[in-house]
Amino acid sequence: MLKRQKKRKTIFLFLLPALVIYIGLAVVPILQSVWFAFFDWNGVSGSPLTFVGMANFGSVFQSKEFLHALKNVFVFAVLNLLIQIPLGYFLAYLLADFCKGYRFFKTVFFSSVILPITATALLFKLIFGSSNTGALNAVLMAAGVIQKPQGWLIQESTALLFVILANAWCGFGYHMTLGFAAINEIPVEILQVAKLDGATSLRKIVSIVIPMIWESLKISIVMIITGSIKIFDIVYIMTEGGPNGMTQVPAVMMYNEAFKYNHYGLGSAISVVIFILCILMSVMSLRLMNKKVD
Amino acid sequence: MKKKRLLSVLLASAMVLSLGTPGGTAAAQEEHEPVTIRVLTRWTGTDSMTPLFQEIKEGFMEEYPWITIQDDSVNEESAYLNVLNTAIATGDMPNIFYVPTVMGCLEYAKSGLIMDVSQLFEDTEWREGFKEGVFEPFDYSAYGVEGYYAVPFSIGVEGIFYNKALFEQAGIEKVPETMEEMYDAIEKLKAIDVVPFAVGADETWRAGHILNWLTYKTAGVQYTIDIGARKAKWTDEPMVQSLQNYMDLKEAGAFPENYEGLTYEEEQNMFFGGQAAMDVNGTWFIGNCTDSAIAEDIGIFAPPYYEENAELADNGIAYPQAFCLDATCDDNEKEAEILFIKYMTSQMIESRMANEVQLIPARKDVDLSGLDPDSLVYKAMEIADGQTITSGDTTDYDTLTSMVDFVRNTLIGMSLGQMNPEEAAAAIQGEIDANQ
Repeated sequence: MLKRQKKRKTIFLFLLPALVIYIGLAVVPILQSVWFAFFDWNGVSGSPLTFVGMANFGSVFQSKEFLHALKNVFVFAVLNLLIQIPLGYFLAYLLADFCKGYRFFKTVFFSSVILPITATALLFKLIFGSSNTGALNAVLMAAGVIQKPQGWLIQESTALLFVILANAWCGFGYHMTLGFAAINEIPVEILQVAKLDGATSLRKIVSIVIPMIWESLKISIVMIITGSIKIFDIVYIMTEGGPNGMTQVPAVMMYNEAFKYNHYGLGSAISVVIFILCILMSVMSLRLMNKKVD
Repeated sequence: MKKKRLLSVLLASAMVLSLGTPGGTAAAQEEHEPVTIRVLTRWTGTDSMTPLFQEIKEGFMEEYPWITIQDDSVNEESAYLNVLNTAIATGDMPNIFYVPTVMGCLEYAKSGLIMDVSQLFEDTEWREGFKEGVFEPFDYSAYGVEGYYAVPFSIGVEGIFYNKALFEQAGIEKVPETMEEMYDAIEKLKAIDVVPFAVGADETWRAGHILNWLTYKTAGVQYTIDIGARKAKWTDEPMVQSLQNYMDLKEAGAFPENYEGLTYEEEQNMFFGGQAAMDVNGTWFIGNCTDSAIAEDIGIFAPPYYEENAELADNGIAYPQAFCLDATCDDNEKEAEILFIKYMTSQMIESRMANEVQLIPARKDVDLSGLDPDSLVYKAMEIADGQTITSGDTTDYDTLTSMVDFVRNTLIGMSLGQMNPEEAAAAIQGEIDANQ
């Protein structure tokens, strides 16, 4: 009994530093954001906080820009799910055959994840540049597909899509790794038996692989959805949410309101909404997926 | 034992070092308590002022050895604003900082965070060296705070930089003075396949500065001041007309294809590469011009006016560049702040800024003998002399902090066809009304 208590104490002591850091750097700022969301504050130290109740939340949901930003993250999440998961898991399936050079390809595909997002976003900004020096324009013009440079990041029909493509490129490698690990857990015998039974590759994927990697897929789906709701860096660097809010997302809007316009209360309210949306979407998507399994 | 030995070595070293201090300096340090002040400018990295600012700091610390200048400068605009806003929100104010926008400091003044610099005017010799009206933008008495809250060091005059060789090639004999002449020049430049204006509005301020020009020549500087005071509206006819004039210029083919997505670097490449003939820019651009391959071919002229609004011909664009001083620090730091700001804006330093970095001085008593009368900075000063009323951005007198971004973003939206000038004006006014 004493030994067990001592062991528990040791475990607690080992967990304590991480717990303190987590509370200090995550829980406390979240609670502070919730607190600030009910006040009006101009960001000047010493100036009074004015209690405004739910007014900041009212402003958030009455803002056309915020509603547009919500629509954008919905598109962001759907397209990222449609691009990153099929691409990442398909590559994982191919690599799981341990074909010649699979280590090389695995490293290459994963490299997009380890590159700094700032560098990647700037790179894509140059690739999708509006002038004829933009790599995409140069290639398409050389191939005769387009006659003059296109403003990929300023046209309504393409701006958000190209930011999503850049984001998908940054993330698919991560899901490939998750998928690769999950597929490797599937007993080879099952796949061999299915093959002997005459199952086609598609049949094997649908009936064996997907159900057996479902837990991993769930993680990927939740991560993409929550990642899309709180997306900031790639949008901020590539377009800053522009032109004129065309690619606006809530996190960039929050940053602008709090740190550029000194509307700390409004910025905090947006951050609280993002936080609640992340939790809601995670719970909802997990419930839906669990139902599917049932 | 070891500890004692270490301590004695340290004490001996400290004694040797103190003996090595020059006599004058030691005496000065005895009289004054050592003090460190933090200065936040944008003069760092590749900024043309960086080397001179380094020399200024060193010169100052040599003259006032008890004061240490801690330079926290950040060059990039948004990073600079982040540092400043965070410092102010957390009560960790720098002692001296570059003024981001004229009205941006109003809240700081109201909260008593920045110093009323009118107390420095007691030094009449220093005060009287300044040009007429350079302190006026920082007089917030109309907004309920008495006093002046920044010390100007330069005036960023905006004009139209042009490529003389391309103008000659296009058959443009004299620089346009009116907009009619400007449209004529645009047609001539297009005829020789030259883009009239280099603009890279991915950084929205590039489009915003063109709107400043057109607004001041259409509605006038006073109109934007009245909007700031809420005596006029963006939806009023002169402001809608200003936005319409912007669209007219765009539709006349004055700007490059997809200019809304071009970067400032691409803009500069177009201008310095001879693909574009003009660039609407401020005197901070002179350093880039003089360093370029076409330096000899670059001239500058005053932004043209509309003949029907000839009375606004003397309305111009000038950005007051100034420093605020922390009012919350102790007296020792305040004294050091005042000494440094007076040194920074002294006749000697202002002369160096004008002659070495081509900044237009805020003082009238500077020695400009090192400047060539045909130089861009001299011409820019002539433009400034021809203006009787000036402002920076159309939103400079607006207390709503989001306005500068909102106007520029709306302008880009309008340019991309998301709305017409009336709708753009209504959207901008809507932002004001929503935040009343």
